[in-house]
Amino acid sequence: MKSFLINFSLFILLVGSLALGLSILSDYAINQRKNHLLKISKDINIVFMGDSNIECAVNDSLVPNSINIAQSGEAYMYTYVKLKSLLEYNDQIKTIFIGFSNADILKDTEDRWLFSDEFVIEKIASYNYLLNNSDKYLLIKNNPDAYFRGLMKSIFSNFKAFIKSFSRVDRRIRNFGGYEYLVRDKLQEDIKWNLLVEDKLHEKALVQEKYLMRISQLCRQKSIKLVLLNTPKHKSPNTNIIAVKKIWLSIRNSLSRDSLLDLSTLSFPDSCYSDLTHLNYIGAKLFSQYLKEKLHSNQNDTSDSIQIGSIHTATDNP
Amino acid sequence: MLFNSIEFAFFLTIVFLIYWFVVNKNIKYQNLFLLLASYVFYGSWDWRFLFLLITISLVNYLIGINIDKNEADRKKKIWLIAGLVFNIGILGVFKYYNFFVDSFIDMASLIGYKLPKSSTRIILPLGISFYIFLSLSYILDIYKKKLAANFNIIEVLLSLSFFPIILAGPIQRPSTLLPQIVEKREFKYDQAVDGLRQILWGLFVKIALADNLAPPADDIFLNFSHYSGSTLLVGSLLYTIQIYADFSGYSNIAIGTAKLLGFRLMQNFDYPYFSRDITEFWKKWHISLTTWFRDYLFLPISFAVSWKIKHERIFYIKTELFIYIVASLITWFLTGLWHGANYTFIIWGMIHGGFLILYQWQRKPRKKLLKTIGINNNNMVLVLIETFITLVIVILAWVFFRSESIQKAVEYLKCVFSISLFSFPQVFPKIAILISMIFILTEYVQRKKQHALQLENIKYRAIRWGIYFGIVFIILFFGGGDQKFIYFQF
Repeated sequence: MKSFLINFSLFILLVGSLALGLSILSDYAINQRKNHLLKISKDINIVFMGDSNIECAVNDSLVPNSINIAQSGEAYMYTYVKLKSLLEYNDQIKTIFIGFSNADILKDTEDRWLFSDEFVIEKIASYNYLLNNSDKYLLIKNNPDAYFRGLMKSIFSNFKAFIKSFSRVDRRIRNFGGYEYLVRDKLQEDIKWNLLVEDKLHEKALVQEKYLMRISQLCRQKSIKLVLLNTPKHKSPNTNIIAVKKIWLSIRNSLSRDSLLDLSTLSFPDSCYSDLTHLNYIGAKLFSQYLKEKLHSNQNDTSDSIQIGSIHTATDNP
Repeated sequence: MLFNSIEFAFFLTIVFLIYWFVVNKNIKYQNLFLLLASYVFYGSWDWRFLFLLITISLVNYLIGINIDKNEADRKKKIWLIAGLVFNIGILGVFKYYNFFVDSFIDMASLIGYKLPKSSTRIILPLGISFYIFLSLSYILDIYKKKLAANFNIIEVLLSLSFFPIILAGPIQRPSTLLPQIVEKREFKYDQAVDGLRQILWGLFVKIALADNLAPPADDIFLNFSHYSGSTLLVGSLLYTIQIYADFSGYSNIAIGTAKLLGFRLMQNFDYPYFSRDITEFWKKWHISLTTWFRDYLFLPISFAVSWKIKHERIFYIKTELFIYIVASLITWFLTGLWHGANYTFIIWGMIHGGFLILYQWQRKPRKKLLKTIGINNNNMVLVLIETFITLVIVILAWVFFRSESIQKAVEYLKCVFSISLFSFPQVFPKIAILISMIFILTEYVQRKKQHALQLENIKYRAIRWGIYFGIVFIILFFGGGDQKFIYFQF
């Protein structure tokens, strides 16, 4: 028994020390190459950020001078640290479009995106080196197991990014998300299910709100235009439940200095939707072309840099 | 508390230390402690269902005593029937209520009666199919006098709720577990080390393999209408490896955990995908369930039917084969239904049942044919062809098992066998495929061993430890997201 315990403890100690050492080393390595990893082309001055709504809706190859770095299930905490580090190395960025949909402002979603195993592991693997101690503490306090697993996965992810940083040629930033060519089709299934959903009591996502405010402040400090973007949603009954709309409006009102581009009621045919809230690749193509035209018309408009915040979209149909 | 969670690692460490250092002096304390640990483990899922588990165990304990102590056969039979009705009734209510009610409503609508959808939905308690089967074998074995009723309530309750096996097996029958519970257990270094190795291998195949295969396999099955035939073929292959890795991984962790506590559980998988025919496959896949159905269903049905048939042939079929067909169809229908309340599982069971009957039917003609054309039964090419055919049958059946409905499974298979089968797959998870290849190769090399990490033939500790480190780091770096074990839903 004694030798069993000694051998086992020794093994665990060695694994732990090695893992810790590698974790520190990988963090150091990726931080050394951050400027190479995060530097984007000089002609890109528009950045699309946020969750899967943006990830699937904006095909950045169709919108000139833009990059989409949104990622599914991305809480604003990660968006904030991504933006902060991106702006450090790219002073050409002038406009940030950030996803602002119902999913982003509800506590239920916040809990899942910030603290569930699935998302903590995935996000920590990619963004741990960008987080500060208080962000890390928040995650460790709520889900230490998942944080540890994500940290271990970040070792390989960091080293991989480190090696690739010497030969980056693509448009994307490694591990930073990007346009998702969505083929999934579960719209009809979602419509059926959605009819059964009742307008229950919803709570505001406080952590999400806090980081959205920080994003807004950061943009103001750097004189960057921040646009809250609500992408097209399917016109199924019950998608716009009142309680959610109230929370959405209250957060929007606290960010009154930033522009809002609410295109949630922009009408697209059913074939453009993957489900009730996500556009598929067909919808993304149409929507990106629409955005391109809007941005182009705004560039020609000399009265103000961007007027899109005042666009009324209810009758806007591509 | 999943086997692949940090919580379980802490739980097992605490249980191990208390078990061997605090309560090790007395077997009674050890058993009581294991019973409490098992209830803590099960209750951590949902404490409400803990009462269900305790009630079922207590009722079976009492029924066991009553079967044993009654001399008269009639009374024994009455107690056995009461026990069967109780256990199967509980399983029926918790597992099949929703299914039967929905099926009844659907059938009524087919003949023109519109019934409202039932608003009552019953939640499936975790592991119910497994601990009900443990209970059934306990009372059946007492009835058949293979096991004497145990009057020690702690020992019986422990045999019906031992935490390594309570959620998804192996279905270690009380007739083989109780003798180990009753006897004093000594710590054995080799057994404990082997247990740790088996746990490590189980974690590897679950976390690094099954959890990495799950997302692409799920995506392909969910959106199959958007993918090419070749992608769907990849999807079915990925699922074939995923379900094996998931369930054999679970079984390895369960068996390894039991070894750490001084117990020996039966092997649940014996490298089934290297099977040459479907019969061999079922001797190697989920062995504890297959042998359970064989002993408590297939053989009793076969004997019951054979007693009643006096003719040499029935419907031009030899009586022997006819009995096999009847017993197989009933057994595989129920094996399918055991897996879940869905027609897809029944079809999956019937496909296997059908191919087993076909195999039985062609056995003698095949032997004659091989003799006539002069091919040895162990001819390498023949072995490879037969293994390949068996694997194709298994994969085909998995499509039904994985699909949400029979209609979707048929559509999936139609899409596989389309012209796009000859295009490059749209989904090709490289890391998962690489780990799958390492896994298959290791399993093939180690197929004579109880598990793939039995490395006692490697003399040097440094090499062994190097392999363990490699596996640990593959798990840590490449482990998939948090996925529940597939067999928990059954």
